[in-house]
Amino acid sequence: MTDAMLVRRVLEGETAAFTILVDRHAAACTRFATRMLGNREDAEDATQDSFLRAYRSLARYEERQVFRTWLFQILVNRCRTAAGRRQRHQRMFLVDDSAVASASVRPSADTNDLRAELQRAIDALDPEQREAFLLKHVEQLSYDEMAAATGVGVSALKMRVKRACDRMQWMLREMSDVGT
Amino acid sequence: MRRLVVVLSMMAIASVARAQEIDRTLPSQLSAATRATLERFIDSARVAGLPVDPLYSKVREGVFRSADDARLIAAVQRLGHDLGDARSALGDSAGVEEITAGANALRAGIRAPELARLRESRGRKADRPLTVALVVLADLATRGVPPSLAAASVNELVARNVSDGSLLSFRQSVERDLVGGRSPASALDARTRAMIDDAEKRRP
Amino acid sequence: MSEPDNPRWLDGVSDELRRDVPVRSAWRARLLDDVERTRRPSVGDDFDDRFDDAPGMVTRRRRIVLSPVTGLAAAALFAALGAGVMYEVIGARSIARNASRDGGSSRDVALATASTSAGETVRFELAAPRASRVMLVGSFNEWNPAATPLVRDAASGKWVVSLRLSPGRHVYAFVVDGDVTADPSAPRAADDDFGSANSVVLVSAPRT
Repeated sequence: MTDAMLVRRVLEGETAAFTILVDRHAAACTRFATRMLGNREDAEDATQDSFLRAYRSLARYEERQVFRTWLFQILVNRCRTAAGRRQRHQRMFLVDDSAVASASVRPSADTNDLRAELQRAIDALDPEQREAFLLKHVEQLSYDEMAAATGVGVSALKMRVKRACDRMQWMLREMSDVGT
Repeated sequence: MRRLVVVLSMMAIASVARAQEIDRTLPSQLSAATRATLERFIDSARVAGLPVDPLYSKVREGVFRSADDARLIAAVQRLGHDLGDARSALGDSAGVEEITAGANALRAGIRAPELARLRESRGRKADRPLTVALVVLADLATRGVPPSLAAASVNELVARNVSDGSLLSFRQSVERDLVGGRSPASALDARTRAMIDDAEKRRP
Repeated sequence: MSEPDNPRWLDGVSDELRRDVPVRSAWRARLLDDVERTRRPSVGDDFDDRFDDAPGMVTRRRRIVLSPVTGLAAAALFAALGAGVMYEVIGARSIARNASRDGGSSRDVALATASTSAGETVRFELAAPRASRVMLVGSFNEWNPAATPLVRDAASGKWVVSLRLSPGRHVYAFVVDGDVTADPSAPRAADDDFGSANSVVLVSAPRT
């Protein structure tokens, strides 16, 4: 059963159909929110909030839209709100490239160190770049879907993804130097 | 990148909280000559049975603070010697944290015999390391309390088996007094007596 | 799954980031509960609160944040709990146990009375209202000034970060907009090796 069909069922009174939609999309939403917000608790709040709003406003979904994209539009908005609440008047920290250059990154094959490094690299991106990077390369939305989800134009999104990739590559280069 | 790609693609899903392990390699920013000098020194410390993690950590700190190589080497060597002196004063059964905290107390101006006296005052209570007492000592001395006065006070408290929590709050109270303009001697005196009175009251 | 024109490093990174973040069953149960209780949508409805910033009808879990434990209060608390080999909470930092939230209706941030051999979570705080960037450096992160940024906590206005630290003595400092500074609420480590002061944090050893 397609997502669109499930939505129709819910609108006709079959609430249980929404459970299936939750189970289909919760993992991806939680994943995106966790990577975006950097912590599990905020991510779960944002994801829960998104599903509830999606449910209440389900009549606004149009079948020509991809449900996941429609849902992500809400989730992206919730994540932006959550981040804004946390850092009301401060710009997000940016990793200073010279600090990265002079810092000594431990070359290590330890799984958890690499994961932590990766999350740190993600955390160090501008929120807009992080958002675009995650949508493109983790959630694998097309640029058109990303434009619908974020309200940002395709060429601006491409630029953000490119900048994010460049920065990630730079931040991870010390790890990449090991063993090559 | 190859290795990164291989490792990432082989990762399992389990996530384990990671405890810190000190990186025992010397940063590549240092010159080969400096690294060689440091390796030799750290190696002899290791052979002498001293903890080497603080030495590697000191190197990293020096790199972070952009110290020149000569200064960095001097700092590591000084720490190595302090670790040795602390170990002598605190005894062979002293743990790594005690020795490191002891080294820092020596650095703050506490003398080795004062460390040894602390150890005597603690007595045979092997389950209670002196780490907290030593941290408090180093802190007080760093804040301008004359080292011998600080040592005398902390020694009294240790002899009365004051808890680690109390030692830390003692430190905080003294700090507050110092910030408030009280003289170190009077602050120490007042707070030590208060702590001793407290300990007496709680005695069963 | 890789796109033909992605560099290999990017494939590795994407694969890793695409690793599932598990959905907790308690979270799922609570969501479905809320769905049962919330406004039901129907065909032709034009209700829309997708992008509202109002709290709506979501039941927010309240966070219980331990206020800074200081001085004699902490000493009394720890004396009551039995000292053993446990060290005190120092200054403005609280030791938070990574409490399981399954089945709980609120997140408990509790003073840790025991720790695993992997250490405890320690919360670092700094009041720096005019700062734009605060980092934590210390013996636990190789003195890497890029490794551990602090984040401004909306509620208190302070810069905070929580880290899992192994038992023992750790030395650290903050980097506030490029300037290194000790933690004003922590014990000092003596150090004029490099011309500036460090702070000490002690993490309790495992309970036997």
